[in-house]
Amino acid sequence: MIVLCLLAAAVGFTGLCFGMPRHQRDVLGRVLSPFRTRLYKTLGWIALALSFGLAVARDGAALGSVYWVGALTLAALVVALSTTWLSRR
Amino acid sequence: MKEGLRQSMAWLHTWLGLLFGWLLLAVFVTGTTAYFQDEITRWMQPEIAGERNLDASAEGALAYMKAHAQGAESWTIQLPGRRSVAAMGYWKEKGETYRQWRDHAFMVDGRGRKVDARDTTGGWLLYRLHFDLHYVPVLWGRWAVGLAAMFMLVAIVSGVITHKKIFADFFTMRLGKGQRSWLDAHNLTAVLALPFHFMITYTGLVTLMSQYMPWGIPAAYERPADYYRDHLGADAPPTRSGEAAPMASLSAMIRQAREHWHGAEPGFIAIALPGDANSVVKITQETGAAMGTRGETLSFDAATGIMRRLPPVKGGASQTESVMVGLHAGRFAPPALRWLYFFSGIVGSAMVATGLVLWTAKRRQQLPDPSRPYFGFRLVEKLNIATIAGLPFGIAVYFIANRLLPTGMAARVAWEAHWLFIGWGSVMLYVFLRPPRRAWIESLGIAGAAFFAVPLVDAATTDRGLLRSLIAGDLVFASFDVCMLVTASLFVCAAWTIHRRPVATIRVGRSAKASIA
Repeated sequence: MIVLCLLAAAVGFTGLCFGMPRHQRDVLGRVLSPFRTRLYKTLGWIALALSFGLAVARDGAALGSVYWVGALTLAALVVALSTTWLSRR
Repeated sequence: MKEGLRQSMAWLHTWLGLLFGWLLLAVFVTGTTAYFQDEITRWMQPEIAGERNLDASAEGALAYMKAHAQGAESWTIQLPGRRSVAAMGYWKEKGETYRQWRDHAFMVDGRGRKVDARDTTGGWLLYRLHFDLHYVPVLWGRWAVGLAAMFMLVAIVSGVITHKKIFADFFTMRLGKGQRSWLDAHNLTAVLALPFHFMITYTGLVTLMSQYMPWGIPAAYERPADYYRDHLGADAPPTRSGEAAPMASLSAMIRQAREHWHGAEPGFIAIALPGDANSVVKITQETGAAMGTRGETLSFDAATGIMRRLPPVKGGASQTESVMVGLHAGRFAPPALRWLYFFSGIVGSAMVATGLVLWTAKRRQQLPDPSRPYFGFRLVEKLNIATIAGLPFGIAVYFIANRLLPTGMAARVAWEAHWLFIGWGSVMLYVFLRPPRRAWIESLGIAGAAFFAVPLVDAATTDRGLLRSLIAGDLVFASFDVCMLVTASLFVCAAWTIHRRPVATIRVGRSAKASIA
């Protein structure tokens, strides 16, 4: 379940990252249409909310939110470093 | 006006960060290790093996003190937490100070038998370094760390104001661009773990609030003792009757406590005036049983085993403090969350380290003659290397000393700690003798070599080396050794990355920031 929560957070941040023209250019080499940009952003936020829901559903509001914040940090760093790595190629 | 605010905040952030950076790095690194304090202690006492059994070790410790410490002022049993195996017992003779407890400390394993484990402070030393420092009076250390934490809070706020594009740069990490890359790394480690940084700094100050902000106590209480009674459940100690009375069953008292707490385990047993008719047994809940770390303490009449009146229910402020301290120390954290805490601690260490390096990276380009920097620049750069590579090296030396110092040695515990500082100090000395680029490469390399040596020395001196613990499925020992190898690799990578760089640009590669584990 913590793995699912981490995954959802990583998907969420990936969505937010792809919702930014700068990273679209770096990783994909082109800028996506405004519609798809917004779609990525929306999906990103939904996945982040889902990861919170997963953490709280498993461990309750108190412990779950501590888990969630920790998972957010790890997931965001993984996404940021992968973006760097992908755009180097 | 807005630009003026940002500039003054940047100035504040830069200079406060520099002034307290080295101390903060030490606080972050040792604090990060403290999340695995129990596991480190277990590794440092390889003589203790087997399964944990709370009741058996409590009875074993009690039996030992009945046989060896009749007439003592108090008997104390520190029960093994969920991540430990052995209980520690110690007693205090009449007229002794609390600090002398180590003279009468002993370990009892899960079968209730006393184990002759090597004398060590284990993970506890690193945990205490985190807020007490070492070689200075505890109160001074706490003032220094508290001051650093207060300014860390100022640095967090001023840093957020200084940061121009928190959201636009949220995922940005540009490599190989000198100062720009260091700024990215500093921003990334700061922003992505911002909730942790803020929580850990704020709650860290709360852990010692009665020292830092003592005036609330006399404002609310006429006698400070009443505060400690309400807040920590510290009753006045019983007076000796002079009449002997045998003690009722301790196991029965533990059972009552467990029932009262709906299954939560006790963690600490203190028996005042053992053997006397007025003797009192106090059982405190394990610190990791709930998010609030200050568990309830139940008192029992030792002669009858009857629970005395319940402690007063804690007020909202007291409970809030308990949860804040619990959130800081993470004692409640199950394994996955513990690793997340540990990871966040590493990110925090990396944030401080990259901030320190950024100070030099930013000023290097403006040097009139890069081959001959001014004194302040050289001092900062050398202190950076000495802390970023030196402290981890000292910790590795501490682990090695644990395996190599003879077990019967006098003042063994003190010497283990001395070796940590001998290790750290010698790197510092070395760094000041070498040109900066060589100093970076060599001291990171030495630190890497020392961490590689830890599992090797372990395998050579005990029968619980990495291979054997992997085969035996001994997770604690295996993970410890693997962590040493990972840390070692990160340091070596960092050294190698600088080594590969052309001489003209003295910069540290990205792996350096990850290697402050």
